[in-house]
Amino acid sequence: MKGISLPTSAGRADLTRRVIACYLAFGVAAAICLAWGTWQTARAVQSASGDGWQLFFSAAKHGSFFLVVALAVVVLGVVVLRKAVRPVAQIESQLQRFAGENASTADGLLPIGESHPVSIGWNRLLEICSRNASRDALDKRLGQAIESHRHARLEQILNSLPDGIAVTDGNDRIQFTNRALLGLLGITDGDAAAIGRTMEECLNLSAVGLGVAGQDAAVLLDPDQRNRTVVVEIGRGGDMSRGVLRIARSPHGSGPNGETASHVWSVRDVTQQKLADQMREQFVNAATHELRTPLTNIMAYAETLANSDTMDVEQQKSFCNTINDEVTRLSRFVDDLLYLSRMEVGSTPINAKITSIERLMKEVVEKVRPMMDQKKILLDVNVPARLPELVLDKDKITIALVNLLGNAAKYTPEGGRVRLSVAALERLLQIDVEDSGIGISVEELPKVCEKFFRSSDPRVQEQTGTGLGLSLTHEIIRLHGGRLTVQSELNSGSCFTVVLPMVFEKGK
Amino acid sequence: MRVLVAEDNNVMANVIQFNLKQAGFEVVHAPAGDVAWERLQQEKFDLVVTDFQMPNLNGGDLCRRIRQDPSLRTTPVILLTAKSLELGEDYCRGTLGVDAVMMKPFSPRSLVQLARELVQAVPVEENGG
Repeated sequence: MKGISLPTSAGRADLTRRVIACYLAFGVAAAICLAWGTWQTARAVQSASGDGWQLFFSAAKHGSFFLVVALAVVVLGVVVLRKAVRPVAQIESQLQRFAGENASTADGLLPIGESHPVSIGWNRLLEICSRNASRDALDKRLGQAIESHRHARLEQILNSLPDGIAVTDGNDRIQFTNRALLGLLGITDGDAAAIGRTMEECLNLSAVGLGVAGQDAAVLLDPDQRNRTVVVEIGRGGDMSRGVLRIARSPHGSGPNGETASHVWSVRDVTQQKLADQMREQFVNAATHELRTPLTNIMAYAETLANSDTMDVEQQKSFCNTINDEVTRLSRFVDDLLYLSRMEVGSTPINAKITSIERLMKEVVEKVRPMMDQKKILLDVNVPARLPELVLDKDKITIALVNLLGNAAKYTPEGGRVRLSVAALERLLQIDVEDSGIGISVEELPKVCEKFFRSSDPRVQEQTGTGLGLSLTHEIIRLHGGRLTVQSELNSGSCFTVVLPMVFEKGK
Repeated sequence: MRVLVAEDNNVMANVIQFNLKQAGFEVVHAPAGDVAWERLQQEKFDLVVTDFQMPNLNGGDLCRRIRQDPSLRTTPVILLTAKSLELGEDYCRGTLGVDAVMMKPFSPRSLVQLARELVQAVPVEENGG
């Protein structure tokens, strides 16, 4: 507050003194003038001679001079006085106007151009006011800048979220959306396309009908639910088959009558989660079915054996063999399942070593030969003499090929034909397993490598199987960087083709 | 007493047949639902034992057909299923109209006992035997 000199008592005294001095000086001067004039006029009238008219003129002649002088003194006094009080008058008029305007800033007050201490003080006061005002304006601008920075940062954070976020007003119109929401709702032309619309519109609820969008969707439109947090799962774009969105809507803030002022929406794509849940359920269903069937058989045969007194030895043997077969099937299923799931999560790595393809094929053929012989199937092995040695996991590839040849034997009627042929192409090893079996229908062909899939063909159903063999084979080939393809025609046969990349040296 | 066993799993069918035969029933095996339906149309049976999951015509549909057929309506039906938890007893008895449900794995002795009870409980029809 340096340099501020408020109108002090000294200044006020100065002004008052001046006014009083003015009054006194000019009043006394005027009075002296009048008194002197009156005396002179009286003397002149006394010394004058003549009639009444002459006396009157003589008095007027002397008196008027003094009257004029006295008047001049009064006028001069008024001028001096006016000059002395002018700044005060100016300030007063400005303050009156200021009071009348009911203004919040001192912008309407003007400095006054007098060298009087009052006007200097006034001007300084205005200067301080304007300095304070400009500092306030600066603070305000700074605050706005900080606020907008914070806003931008918040928006940036919201935009970096993988979940879609939206804010709607009391009329359900969208006021804000983040980038993820636009992506989830399939809005490609920026948030301007969503602002002002309702979420129901954007989610396409009304257009397609709530039935397609999912049973829950109606909750979003229920007025009773407006003041509660609602979580629903609905179809993307109103269509469940296009993916599932989990939508949470929470009320935010309240209006004057306690109604919800706005809603915050968060939208998450849970399609993958839903699919995983569905797959897990399918898996559990299929696995329990596959476990229950042999268990049921084992229980029935064991109990029958234990309770029957009239059974002959041959029958007992046959029952025991059945139990044995079912136990083998059960344990193979458990092994396959464990093996497959281990490979899928990568905990059974490929143990690749330099392997002779010729020897590998010989071993595979040895393993499947008994099955083929049993059904009098002609196994035609077409392996070229000079095959390279390749780096691969011999045990796993053996499992894969035995699976393919085993299937060929299983699903080829007695007296049929199975051919195993191997060819070294440029950088690729191709292995074909072709049979003259029952074949696979066009509808079922894409599903054959799915876990637990078993054809509904009665000729397949009458064979025991876990529905895991081909998925296991597929997984083994995939882990070797290869490909398993199948061509088939119902009732005439199938051809499974394995293509493996040729790796000659370890680590390459 | 003639029993029709509709079961696609041969191993299972064998043991059911064995047990029912031991108990004195005459058993006919149908390896699929549609085969079972054909036999039911042609011959007279005192009891039907059927699996639920079967190719061509499943056990549920077979039960429904049996209950809708006037000449078969009173024939007792036992449903064997591994899915009794999913299907529910009320569904099997109410909607499918079966007389008894046996959950797999099941005891063959209980099956034989159940078969005896059901066959004896059937009201004797005038023209039936």
